[in-house]
Formats: sequence, structure tokens, C-alpha cells
Amino acid sequence: MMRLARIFLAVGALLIFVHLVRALAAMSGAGEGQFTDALGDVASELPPGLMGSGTSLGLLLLGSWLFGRLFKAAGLPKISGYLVFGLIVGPSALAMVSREHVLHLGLVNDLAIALIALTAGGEMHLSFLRKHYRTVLAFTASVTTLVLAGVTIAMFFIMRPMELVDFESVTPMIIVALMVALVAASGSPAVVIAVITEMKARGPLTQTALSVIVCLDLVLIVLFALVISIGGPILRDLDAEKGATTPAAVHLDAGADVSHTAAAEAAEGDPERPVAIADDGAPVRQSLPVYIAIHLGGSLVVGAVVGLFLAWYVHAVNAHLDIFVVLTCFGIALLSGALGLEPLIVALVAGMLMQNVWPESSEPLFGSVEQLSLPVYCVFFALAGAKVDLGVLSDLWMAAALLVGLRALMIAIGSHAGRKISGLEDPAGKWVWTCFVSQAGVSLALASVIQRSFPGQPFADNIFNLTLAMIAIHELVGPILFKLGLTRAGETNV
Amino acid sequence: MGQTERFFLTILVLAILALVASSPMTYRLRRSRMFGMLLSGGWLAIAAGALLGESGLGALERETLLRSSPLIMICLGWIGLMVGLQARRELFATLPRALWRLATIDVLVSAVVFGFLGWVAAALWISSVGAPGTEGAAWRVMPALIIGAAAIGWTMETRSMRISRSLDSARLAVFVRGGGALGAIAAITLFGLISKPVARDPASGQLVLDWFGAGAKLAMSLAMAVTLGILGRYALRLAGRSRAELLAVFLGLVALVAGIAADLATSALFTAMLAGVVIANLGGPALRMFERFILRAEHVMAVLLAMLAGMLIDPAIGIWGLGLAMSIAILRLILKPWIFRVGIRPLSEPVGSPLFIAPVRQAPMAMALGLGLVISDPTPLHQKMLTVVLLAGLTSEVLPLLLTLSKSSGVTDAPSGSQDVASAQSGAGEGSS
Repeated sequence: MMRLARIFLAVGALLIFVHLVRALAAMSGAGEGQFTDALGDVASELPPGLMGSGTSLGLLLLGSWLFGRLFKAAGLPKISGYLVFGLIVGPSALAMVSREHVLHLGLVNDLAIALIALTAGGEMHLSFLRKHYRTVLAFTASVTTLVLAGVTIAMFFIMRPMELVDFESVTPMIIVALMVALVAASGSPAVVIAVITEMKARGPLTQTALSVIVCLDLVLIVLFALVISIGGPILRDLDAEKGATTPAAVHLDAGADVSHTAAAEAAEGDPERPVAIADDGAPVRQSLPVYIAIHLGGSLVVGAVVGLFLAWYVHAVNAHLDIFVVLTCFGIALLSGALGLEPLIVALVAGMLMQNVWPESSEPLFGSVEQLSLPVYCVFFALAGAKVDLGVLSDLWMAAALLVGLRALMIAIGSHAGRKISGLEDPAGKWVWTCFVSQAGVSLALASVIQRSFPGQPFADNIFNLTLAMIAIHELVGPILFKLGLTRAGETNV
Repeated sequence: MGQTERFFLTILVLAILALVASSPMTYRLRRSRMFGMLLSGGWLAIAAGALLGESGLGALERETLLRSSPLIMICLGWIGLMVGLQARRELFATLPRALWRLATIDVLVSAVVFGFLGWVAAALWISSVGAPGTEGAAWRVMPALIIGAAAIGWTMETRSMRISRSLDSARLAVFVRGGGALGAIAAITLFGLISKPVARDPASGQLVLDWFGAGAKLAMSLAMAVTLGILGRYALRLAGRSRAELLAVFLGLVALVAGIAADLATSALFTAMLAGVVIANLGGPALRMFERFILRAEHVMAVLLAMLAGMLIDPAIGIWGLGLAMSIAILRLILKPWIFRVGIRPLSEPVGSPLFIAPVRQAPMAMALGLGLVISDPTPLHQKMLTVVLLAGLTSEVLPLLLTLSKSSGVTDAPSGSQDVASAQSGAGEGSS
């Protein structure tokens, strides 16, 4: 009890301390702004919030770490503590971490995604997949199909009565409902990996959950690209009829800053509609199959190259492995952003290659990855918590609760079907559904793609807010349920 | 590919090269004297940075570099914390009195002589341009301060001096390293304290001297350091012996210290060093492990800072800058061996040992101080001052090299057992960096 009180005191002291510093900085006007010079009239202006992002990073790291200890003491997963701390200090609660800070910390977020995916790849044993591919496929197919079907149908009927959309024709209704369903069907490999790492879990549920959740998200990323590329122009055409100007594109990148500023005008009647936006804002003109082939194929190839590079480093250099892993993950995040690749797939492939081709030399590497995982999880999940908009949650709680309930039901039925088809034995079969509940980075990225693809359109903001509210609930509930599942299946080792 | 991505990818590639360069794979290469000196001063990294920066190939723009300020602040915070953690009472108690005397003489002489030189040069330089509103003394304080603070101490690297294994040589090497370590602490402290009165007037954007603000900033820095130190110590105790937990605490502390320094426009090096001092002196079983952990990334951090410094240099320093850099190098060549001799006078001296001219070489901390100045107030004047500091450092690195090369045939210290060396080295704490 005293220990808990001390941690509470430490968190309180940290919050008061940072609050005082921010107040002093605001009073003195320090840290931001213009600079004049004795040797000329040059002025520099730093982007707002940039200088404060360091404090936010430190606050998120230390505070979420302390909160994680609190949650652990209360028998809850540590990552729930990280998420809750992010939520408390985030823009919608105490606002000690502003929206600008969250944006500036985007690269840290991308680095975390790469590291988490590398860990996931390291846990994907080909021998297991070869042996259990039917189980993986059965759960992926059944859960995906049922959640997609259930949520699409429900959204189709409730969107208009709830004034989320104002379409009069059926086609755009179906497209939007399908987009929401795709976000709803997505899971969180990051949460699954984090809880597995925290609980030091090993066993059939652990392996199945990891393989299925990664497979599920890969399928959904492809499906989402298809739906938004085919359905996007239809929705934009509708909007164009109303006289709005809209951009055209999607760049599916978990956690990346997706900018969409151009290319709508080119979409009409163009067989090679722009399917993505490059970093410079220009439309990427490729047919959809070519785009998907490059996007996914490129991610696979780059992932393999990164895997080879990792293997070379471990063989030839084998020094400063932890720093090297951080730099590599940083590289994966940057390269993926620059080349329009999927960092999740790139890192996953690299990790899988290392684990399955060079299992012995990958051991020290994954040992370093494991050590780095704690601070990375702290920042990643605290940032995810900071992105939760409590205002939206309170406005849309009824619709969100409906969506959450429906999704849970579909997951339960889908998991049951998957269990029957695959014949996965209990207790793993009984508790595998718990891995599907969590949502975080990938779901947030998909939701933000909807919003950013249709700027200025009320439906996009409504749908974004609804999915955000749903993700917020799953962020908080998911880890607790998955921890429960692992514990009940007897696979934890802490 | 955007500028920011290009910047980070460049940094990344160079950092990986630095990792490979510091690995056992290149051990043979590093044993070469010339290569050792280049690596110890970070000159290769500075050159690579300068080549890629706006003044070189122009691959990276100044604005992009400035947008990476939080990253640079975190690097500086790392260095500051690392230095602060060395400042333990029990370690200081073991240092010989002569070492304290040496450090005191060095700090006083360097700060006064080089600071005065910096003040005069800055006054002449600024008045030669005649920009309006720059008549105030505040504009001269920072150049004088950076020149003075950068001159304190010297590089702690002694391997490339080819010293013999005699007891006297070992003692001298300890003085070089100890003096360098104390100099680093003194330089950060001096810079952190004297830079406090200099502030930007929010209305005019001009530099002014604000004594009341200075007091408040100093009190804030101390309060922050004590609070963070106590918080850090508690977190370290809570983390126990888990490396992952220690890493989370350490990264959190560094980011927080550097971020707060950025928020309040104070020196990240100074604030982090103060926090490190508090943590070090509050003790705790995890401290040694924590220290070892931080030191592991020392080389990469130094290379990263050297690259960033290289990228931010402004070679258009003109005759004033060139003159100032050369004056610093020449003054170092004259003053530093004298300071060293005076400081350690009661000890027996191996005649002609290259270690006597080792203090001529500028401390790597000078680069960190210069970089901190540019990041906290990114004006072309400060970029030019950083360039002067780096140029003076390079010149003062080359001069003793040339001198020792010419004298190397005459250096013959009597060989002795390695046990003597070890016992002599254990007599004083070795600083890092």
C-alpha cells in the first residue's frame, strides 16, 4: 500500500513539476519564436510546439512507466497504465501534451511501430505457421468476415438515423459502412506483442494470437486500400456535385502523417486514378493492382533487405546491438515513409527472416529488442492514449457502445467458428477471442485515412470521431482482456 | 523525399557507420595513431557533417537542422547527465590536491584570458558590421562566454600520445584525464551560469541583460535539478536491476531534462549536469549500473553531436573569425602547457613527455557548448562562433601533433610494470567523453 502511495506521489510530483515548468515557459515566452542577429537580419521561426515536445516525451515516458507500475500492482496490464496516463495528460484532459507535441512525436511513434513489428516478426516461427496455417486462416477468415458483415449491415442502417451521413443513395452508404467495418475489424499486433512480452507468455494461445492478429491486419490493410481506392472517387464525386473541392488519395501507413492536398481533379474519367499521395503532395498515378503490388511487394522486398542487413551486422560487427536496433527501426520508419511502404510489413518480414533463417544469430538481436521494448511501449501506448478524444467519446458514447457491443459479438461468433473449423484445443481455443478486442496504431491510422481522404466532408469527421471513440474503448479494455485470456490459458510466466 | 526525411536518413547512415567504426571489427585501424586522433576529436564526423550541411554540398538545409533541435537537446542532455554523474563526492575526495589546483588555475586563466579575447573580437566584429540595435553589451557576452568556456580543459584522450608505461607517465596521464574531466564540469557550469542574464527582449527581439531573470533562471535550474534528481533517484530505486526498466527511466530523465531546458531556453548541458550531480550524490545501488549503461552510448552520442556541429558550421567567418580561431590556437599552445606545469609542479616530470602538450588540444565539450549555443539561439553569429570554436579545436589538435612528431624520437621514458600504471590510474577518477 505504501509502495502504491509512493508511486502516486511520484506521478503527482512529476505532473506538478512539468505544469510549473510550462507555466514559467509561458510567462517568459521562452523556447519558441524568432531570432534576430548581430551580423544581419536573419530570422528563424521554429514550428509551434517543437521545443516543448522534448518535455512531453520525457513526461510520457517517465509518467507512463510509473503508471504502468501502478497498474501492475493492481493486477492490470502495464500497457493499460501507459494508455491511461497518455489519456490523462493528453490534449483532451490535462492538455500537458498538446496536439502539436503529439504530431512532433510522430517519428517516435513510427519507430515504435517498427520495433513492435520487428518483435512480432521474431515471434513468427515458420515451423509453427506451416503446422498451424489452417488455424491461422480459419480464425482470420471467420473473424474478418463476421465483423465486416455485421458492422457493415449495422452501420448501413444506423448511420442516417444517427445523422452520421446525409447520403441519399445506397452506394456511398455501403462504402462508408464498409470503411467503418474495416476499421472495426482491425486489431492491434502492438498490444498483443506488448502483453505477451509483459507476461512472458509462451504456448499455443500466444503463438496463435500473434500469427492471427498479424495476418488479420495485413488482410485488412489490403482490403482497406481496395475499398478506399474504389469507393473514394465515388464519395468524392458526390461531394464534387455539392461544389466542394477534395483530394483523392490514400497512403496507408500505420501511424504516419498522411497528407492529402491534391489530385481530385484528375480522378474523373482517368483509368489510372491517383491511388496515393507522395510526400511532395503530388498524386501517385498508378493502376490499383500496380500500386498494391508496389506497396506490398516493395514492403516485402525492403523487409528482406533489412533482414539481410541485420544478419550481416550481427555476424560481422556484433557490437552495440541495442543502439543498432534503434537505428534500424528508425531507418525502417523513415524509408517506409519516403518510399510509401508499410513499416509494419517491412519490420515484420525483417524479423521473420532473422528468426527463421538465422535463428542462432538472431538471439542476441532479439534480446536487445526485448530490452528496448519497455521504453518504446511506454511512449507508443502513452501517445496512443493522448490521441484519445474524451470530448468525442462523451458525444458519441451511445453509437460507440453499440459498435463496441456488436464488434464483440461478431468476434465471439467468429472466434467460435474459427475454433470449430480449426479444431484448436482448449484452453487456447476458448480464449483466443481475447486477442481480437484490442485496437491501437493500425486502427487509428485507418481511421485517420478516412478523415484525411475526405477533408471538409461532414461524414468523414463524424465517422472518424465514431471510430475514434470505439478505438478508445478497445484501447482500454483490450489489454485487460488479453491478459486475462493468457492467464486463464495458463501461458503466463510472471 | 522531404528534407526532414533526408536529414534523419543521413544521420542514420552516419550513425551506423560510427557504430561499425567503433566496433571490434575496426580495432586494428583504430590503433593507428593518426586514425585514433581523428576519431578522438570527432573530426571525421565533423567533416562529414560539414560536407553534407548547407555550407558543403547543401544536402541538408539549416532550417531542417533547426527543426531537429529537440533531438540535439536530448543529445546534449545525455552528455550533461553523463558528466554530472561523474561528480560524486566520494570520487572527488580521492582526487589529489594537485589536480584541484591544476583545474582551478586552468579555469581562472582560460576563462579570463580567452573570455577577454572573445569579448574584444566580438566587439570589433559586430561593430564592423554595424547592424542597428547591437550596441549593447549583451551581444558580446555570449561570444566571449563561448570562447572562454570552450577554452577550459582539454581532451582526455591520451592513447595517441604514445606514452610509455612508466609510473610517472601514468601519473601524468591521470592528470591529463582528471584535469580534462574537471574542466568539462567547470566549462558547463561557467557557461550555464554566465549565460543566464542574457535574454531575448520579446518586444524587440534584441539581446538584453536581465539580472532579475538570471536569478530566477538560476533558481529554476537548481530547483529543477533537485526535483529531477530526487525523482530520478526514486525511479532508479523502483527500477531495481532490470536493464529495460533502467533504460526507460534513463531515457525519460534525459528527455525531460533536455525538454525542460528547451522550454525555458536554458542550457540543456547545465540543467542535465545538475540533475546528474544530484542523482550521483544521492547514491543508490542501481547507480553504477545506470552509469555503465549511459557510457555505452557515449561514442555514438559524441559522433552524432560532432556531425550535427559540422552541419551547422558557417564557413563565412571572414578575417575576424579566422583571426580569432588562430589566436585561440596559438594562445592554447602557449598557455596550456604552462598551466599544466604550474598545476602539477611538485611531481617529478619525465622530461620531454608528449603528455605536457596534451592539454593544448581542445576539449570535445567545447563542441557541445558551441552546439548548445546555436540551438538555444540559432543566429548566424552563433553559428560563426561555433565555427571558430571548431576551427580553433582542429588547429590546436594539429599543432601538438606536429610538435610530438618532430620530438617523438627523443621521448624515452623508462619502462615500468603495468601494475604501476594501474595503481597510478586508480589514484584519480577518470572522466568520460
